[in-house]
Amino acid sequence: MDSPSDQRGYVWFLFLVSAVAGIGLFFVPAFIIRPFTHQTPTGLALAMALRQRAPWGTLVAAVVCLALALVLWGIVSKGRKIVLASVMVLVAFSAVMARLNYFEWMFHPVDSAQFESASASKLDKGEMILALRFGSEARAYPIREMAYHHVLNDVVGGVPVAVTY
Amino acid sequence: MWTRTVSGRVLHFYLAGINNQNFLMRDKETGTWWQQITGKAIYGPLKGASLELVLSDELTFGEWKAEMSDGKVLAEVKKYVKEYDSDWEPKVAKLPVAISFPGTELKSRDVVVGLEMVGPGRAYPWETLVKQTPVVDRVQGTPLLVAVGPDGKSFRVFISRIDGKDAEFFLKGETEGETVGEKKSESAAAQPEKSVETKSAASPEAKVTDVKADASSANKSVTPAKVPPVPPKPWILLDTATASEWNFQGCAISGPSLGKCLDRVPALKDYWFDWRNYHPNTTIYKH
Repeated sequence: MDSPSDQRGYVWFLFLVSAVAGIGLFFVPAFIIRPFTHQTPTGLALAMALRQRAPWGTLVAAVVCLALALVLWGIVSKGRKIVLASVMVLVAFSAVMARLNYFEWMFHPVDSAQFESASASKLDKGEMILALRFGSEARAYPIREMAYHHVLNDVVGGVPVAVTY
Repeated sequence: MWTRTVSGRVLHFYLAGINNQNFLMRDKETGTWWQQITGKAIYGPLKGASLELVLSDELTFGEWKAEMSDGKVLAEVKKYVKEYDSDWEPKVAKLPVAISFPGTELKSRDVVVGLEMVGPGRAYPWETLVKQTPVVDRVQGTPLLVAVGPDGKSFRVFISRIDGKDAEFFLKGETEGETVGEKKSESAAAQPEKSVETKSAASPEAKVTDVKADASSANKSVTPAKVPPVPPKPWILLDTATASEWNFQGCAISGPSLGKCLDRVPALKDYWFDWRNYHPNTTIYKH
């Protein structure tokens, strides 16, 4: 029969393992997939695998951590409570961030693309554009805009296209 | 640019990350991860699938508007106008790169026009293209024509073949000594190039060409004494096979090939490090 101290140790262990899993599911891919750093094929594969599982993985981890934290809350010292609370904040933060696309905070998508006629456009004639045509429909996408949005879902001449830059 | 239909299903893409400075996107329908430059699904339920490339152009607005006056232009999103940076290109050119290929002939941020359809890929340094346009090349048996447009910024790539026969092209009115004239192959010798370029009367063919040129341009004069001081030259290509005149859209506007258009080749303007990263065995055009 385990002593209360041993049982508390197991709970702490489970809490910390769940916390590391939950936090790691968000932070590891975020660390690997960051700009201006080299991504190795292995690192990228790991990042995508974790990010793919992060929405439900971080949620499970957060629920487990919360349950274990409640168990521990009444029997640990004030200092340990601060640890519990701090870790819970990180776990909750990871669970929220795993559901948000922070890349689109940096480069906002075009929610509803609007178009204007070539004659009405105030673009300078030397400005670079991406152009395509399907049937009688021709589109121009200023690179200055696409260099910010990066991707745009459009339909041209009935053909769904992804404009990327 | 890519079509968004995969196995009959229309996908919607969003920015999802970055891989060695080429962005990753995911589709809302399956969560699959796609590499922007290759259009390939690299992780997730659709891994292994490929998006179909859409033939697109990278042009100046002026060039496009002249060709497509009834086209539509993506309007600015007002709340993001401050984010649209006119100087983004020189700024990006100064940024560090996440991956480099020391020992290759080009610098990481050198701009190339890359072709995927020919073997392992073919890269044309932008500086070379601007100096030598039009570049006539042959890769794995395919004759290619890479042309920088009259604005010096737009570009297009074509199969350099007319009615199944290989052809070479040069800019009409090119002066003797320009690099384009120097790189013509022996096949071009069938029609004396310099005669055409300098509008010499030495060759009957050149005379024919001169007549066409005068008919096609109000700025030109047959009397040397009345030639105005360097009028802007119309951007017209001449082919060595039929001596027809061709516009930047790759269509013959006069001569025996009138009404015909060259087949287009999809091409991508990219930084060398990015192109090389995804095309490890690419060859580089050398003049």
